[in-house]
Amino acid sequence: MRFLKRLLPNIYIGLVLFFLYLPIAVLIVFSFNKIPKSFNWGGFSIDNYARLFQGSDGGQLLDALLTTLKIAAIAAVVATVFGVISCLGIAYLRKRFQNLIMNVTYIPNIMPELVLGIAFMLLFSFLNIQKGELTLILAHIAFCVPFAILSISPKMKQVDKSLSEAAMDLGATQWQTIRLVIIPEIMPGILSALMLTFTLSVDDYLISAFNVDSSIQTLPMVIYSQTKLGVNPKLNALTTILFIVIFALLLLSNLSSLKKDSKKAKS
Amino acid sequence: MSQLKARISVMPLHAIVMCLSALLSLVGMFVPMFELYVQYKKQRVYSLFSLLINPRVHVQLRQTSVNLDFQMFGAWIFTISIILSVAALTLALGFQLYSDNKKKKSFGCFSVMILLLARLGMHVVTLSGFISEKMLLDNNLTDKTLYVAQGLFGNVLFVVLFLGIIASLYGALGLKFTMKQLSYPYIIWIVLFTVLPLLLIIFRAFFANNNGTYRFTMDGFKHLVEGRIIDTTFYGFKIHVQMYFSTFLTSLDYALWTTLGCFAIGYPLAYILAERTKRAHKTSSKLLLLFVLPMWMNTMLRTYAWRAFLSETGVFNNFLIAIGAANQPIAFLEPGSTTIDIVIKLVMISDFLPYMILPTYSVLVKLDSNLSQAAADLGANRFQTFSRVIFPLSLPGVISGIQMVFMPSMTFYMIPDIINPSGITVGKQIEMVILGESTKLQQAGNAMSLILLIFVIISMGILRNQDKEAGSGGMTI
Repeated sequence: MRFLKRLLPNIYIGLVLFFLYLPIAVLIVFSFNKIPKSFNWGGFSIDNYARLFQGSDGGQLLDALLTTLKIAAIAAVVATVFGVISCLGIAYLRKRFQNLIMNVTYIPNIMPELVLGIAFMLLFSFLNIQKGELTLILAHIAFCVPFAILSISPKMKQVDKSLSEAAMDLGATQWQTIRLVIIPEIMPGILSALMLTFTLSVDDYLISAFNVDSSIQTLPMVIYSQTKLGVNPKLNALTTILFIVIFALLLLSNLSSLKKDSKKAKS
Repeated sequence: MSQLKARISVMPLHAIVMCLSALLSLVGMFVPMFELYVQYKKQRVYSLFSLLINPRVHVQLRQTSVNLDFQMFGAWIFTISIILSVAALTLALGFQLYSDNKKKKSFGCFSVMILLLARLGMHVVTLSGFISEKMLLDNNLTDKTLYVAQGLFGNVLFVVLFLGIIASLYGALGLKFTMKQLSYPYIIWIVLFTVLPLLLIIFRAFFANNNGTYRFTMDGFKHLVEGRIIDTTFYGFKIHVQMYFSTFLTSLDYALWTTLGCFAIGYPLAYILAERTKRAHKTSSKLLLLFVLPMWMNTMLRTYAWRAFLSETGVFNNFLIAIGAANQPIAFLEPGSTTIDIVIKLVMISDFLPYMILPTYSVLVKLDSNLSQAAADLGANRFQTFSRVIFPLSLPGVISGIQMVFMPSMTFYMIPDIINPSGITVGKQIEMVILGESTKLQQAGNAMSLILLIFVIISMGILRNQDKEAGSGGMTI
């Protein structure tokens, strides 16, 4: 009985993991499928990996991947830099004003992406900006900035104000104080903001769908259009590779943190 | 040299921005930033410098070829731009590094501002002046089929120059920098990208765009109300409802079940994980990572994999036949059947589950384990401890989980759409009409967006109130 009681949570965890990873397993298996555009099994082949970016379908995939990465990189960097600057300023505002701004920052965060996408679309049509690459990038930045601020501002709150005052008393200019005292303190927040905004932008479909013309296609848009006609197994292969890369990165960062922990424990 | 270094290190922020902007205005001439389009096809990307080296362009199109000649234009625009940029850069650096007089410094900033303004003007003139009347006439083209657009770097230069002008204005006025001022751009940003878009949703629901002028109309709402009455079945009941309302009902049904399912599966799981983390510190927080990892796999592809798994020729049916549980393939995904509804809800639960587990876990793991001990000491049994102590204290996490699941699952229309392409949900409906051609339907789409926005605000308001009550309830215990 006691044995069962201890086993039960493990079984439960196993079942939920099975439920979560089943589609991923199917996806990975189908990346080795021989016949294109079908969910029937047509035999094993590694052709999808070997000729990933070759042929016209591969070319489209490469284009979409590069566009997605480019837009995500721009959006993440701009949103994070802007977020850092804003957080620095917000921390020195009066308390009441600070709360007001943070509350408004939460709005886009809890709005569904659909509503945000429509809102940005209406904004661009109001400002008479043609849909295209510019609107896509602007929409992504606009969507990422609140997330960047929300992940930096908790770190900013932890920074001791007397630290920067001490730096200034010792003769540092304001710019030096920011660069040498505050930025290193909030660095973890900045890094997590970069990661978060990048992944949000890479994964986004809804906001992109409302804010581009037909000339640009991001990876999620390619995926959505292909789910209607049958997904090319190369797409599965590409996402499998991306998934493995992310998994490896997470594993590496975890291992290094584990090592740090054990070092700390030793010392 | 060391003196110079010291001077650079005490340079105020606005001066640095000004100098960088002036530098980029010079470098920008060698960076490709103008894109030439002939009959809607991008032909070449230019920098001012590349134009100077190679002013004659020959473009081969399908039927015709086009000869373009930028010769004189490129030469004089390059000369003026380079004079302006070099002057701006020298002044910006010179006054900042070699002058101590405050008045002189602000005069320097002022002249840099004028130069940068001129450079910005030059940039705009270049864009509009690229194509001459002669080029259009010679090649039998119109200004719609032959035009120059600004590329990515052009836009960057525009922003940089604008920042430089603001920075130099700042220096010219002799304002003193305080940290507070760093938040001003964000306040403008909030107005532009948060307040204005949401107000526009309200505005556009009532006003139709008529080639730039807006006129008041209730057409959108009229269309929504006038929509056909249709017969559908809802949980076995035959009902007779308005078309758009039935769509809304379907989405609400999906969202409610998804939220409920995520809670039912996710809460026990978060509880188990939190207990483990409390007992053995290291390994179990890594276990949490396994539940977060699926979020990095594209949702739509995962959904499609479910469809492949459950299709008539899919793995699951083959498995059922192999073990003898079914004689022939079961059509789980037959449109209109009850199984497809269940499948959609299950897939949505599987997709949104991590969003429920994470916040719940992060609250549960912070709960002091002495709390349950205290409750037990005071005579509560295990069920009472859970229902009176643990659960109320974990409500904030559950509520933020619901926030992250409920509204997105209502509007993230891709999952139901991939499983059942013939079904319609609120999000798909809005996307169809708002991106469509018909202006009347677009207006209906705007009206629908407003209704959705109101629904979002109401449900968020309810959740927030609950959150506050839960918070205070937690405090009294």
